[in-house]
Amino acid sequence: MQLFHFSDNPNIDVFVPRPVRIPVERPIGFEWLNGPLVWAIQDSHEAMYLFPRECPRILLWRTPDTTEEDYQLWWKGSTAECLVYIEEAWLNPVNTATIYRYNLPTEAFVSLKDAGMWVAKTEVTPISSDALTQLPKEHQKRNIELRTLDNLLPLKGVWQTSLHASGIRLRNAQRW
Amino acid sequence: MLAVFGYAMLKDGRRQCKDTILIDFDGVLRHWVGSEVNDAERTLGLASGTLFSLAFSHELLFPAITGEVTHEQWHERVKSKLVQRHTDEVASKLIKAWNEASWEIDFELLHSLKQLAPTCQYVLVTNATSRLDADLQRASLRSAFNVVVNSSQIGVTKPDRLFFYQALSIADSQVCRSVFIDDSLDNVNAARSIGIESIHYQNVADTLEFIRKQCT
Repeated sequence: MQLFHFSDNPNIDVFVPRPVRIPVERPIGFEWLNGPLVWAIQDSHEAMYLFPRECPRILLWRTPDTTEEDYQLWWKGSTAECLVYIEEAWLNPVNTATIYRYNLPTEAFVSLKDAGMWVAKTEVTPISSDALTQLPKEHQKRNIELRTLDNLLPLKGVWQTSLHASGIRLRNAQRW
Repeated sequence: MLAVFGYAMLKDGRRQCKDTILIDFDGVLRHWVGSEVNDAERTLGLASGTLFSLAFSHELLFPAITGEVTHEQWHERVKSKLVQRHTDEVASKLIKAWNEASWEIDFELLHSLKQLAPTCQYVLVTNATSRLDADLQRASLRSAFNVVVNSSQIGVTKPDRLFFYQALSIADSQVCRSVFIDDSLDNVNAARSIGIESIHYQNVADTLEFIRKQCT
C-alpha cells in the first residue's frame, strides 16, 4: 500500500501538521480530526483526488449491497469502476490542470479506517512526487467515467440510494 | 477516451454505427391535433392559451413530470387555480375540454424508422406524467419501444443531463452508441453536450436521413 497527498503546489519539501481550513462537525471523541494533522489517502482511494483541488465532485461506486433497481437507473451500460459527476464549468479545469502527487512514508500515519484516509501528527517528508498533467488519462487508466452536469443539485438524493457516494468540495458547487 | 465519452471509433477508423435510438414523444411521435381547448376558451370568452399557460407553468407542471404528483393531481391543481381566477363552471369546462383533447401518433415515422434501422433498440424518452403508460396502451404503442423512460418515474427531466445518463443506463447503452431525436432545441443541446449525436426534429425526411447516416 502507498499513501499519497495531492496538491496543486509542486514545491512541498515537508508536510507540517495544520488544522483543517474549514472545521467540520465530528462525532464525540473525534474532534481532534479538526486539529493540526497531515492528511494522506491510500492508493486504492486516490481516484477521489485526481481532480483540481477545489473542483466540486460526486463519486459513485457500486457495493455488494447495491440493489438491482439502483444498478438499472445509475450504472447499467457503463463498464466504469467509478462514476464521477462534475459541473460543466469544471470540465476545462479538469482537462488542463496539473496536480502533484506526493508519495509519503506510511510509518508516520495511522488509518482512520474511513474511505482510505490516514493522518499523521508529526511533520512528514515526502519520499517523492510526480506531476499529473493529463487527468483524463489518469481517469481512463483507473476506469473512472467522468460525467458533466449543469450543476450537481440533481444528485442530492444519491446518498439515499444503495450506491456508495462521496462528495468532495461541495461547498464550491453552484447553489449546493 | 477523453473526459466526456464521445464517438466510438472502430479499429479501422470507421465510426461505430449507433444501436440505440432515443426518441421524444410529444411533438415528434405524438401530435395534439384537436381544437377542443381552443374552442372552449373561445366559447367562454377567454384568451387563447388561458389553460395551457397555467397548466404548463413550471410551478404546476414540474411536480407532475417529476412524479411528485400524479396526472390526476396535476389536473386538480390546475382546476383549483382556474377556479381562483375564473369560476367553477369555467374551470370545469376547460378541464373537460383538456381531457377530451385529441392527439394522433405518427405511425408513418415510427414505421419508417424501424424499416431503416430494424436492429436498433428504440427508447422512448419523455417528460411525462403518470398517465403515459395508459396513453401508450391506448395507442397500442407499448410494444413499439424496447424501453420507456418516463421522467415522472425517474424524478428527473430533460434537459437535465442526468436524465440522459439515466436513460442510457436504463437502456443498457452508452453515449457513443446512441442517437437522440427531440423537437426541443434545449433538450437536443443538452444531449449533445454529453456527446450524444442528436437531431432537432423538424420534419420526417431530415430525421430519416440522420438515422440513415448514424445507424445504418
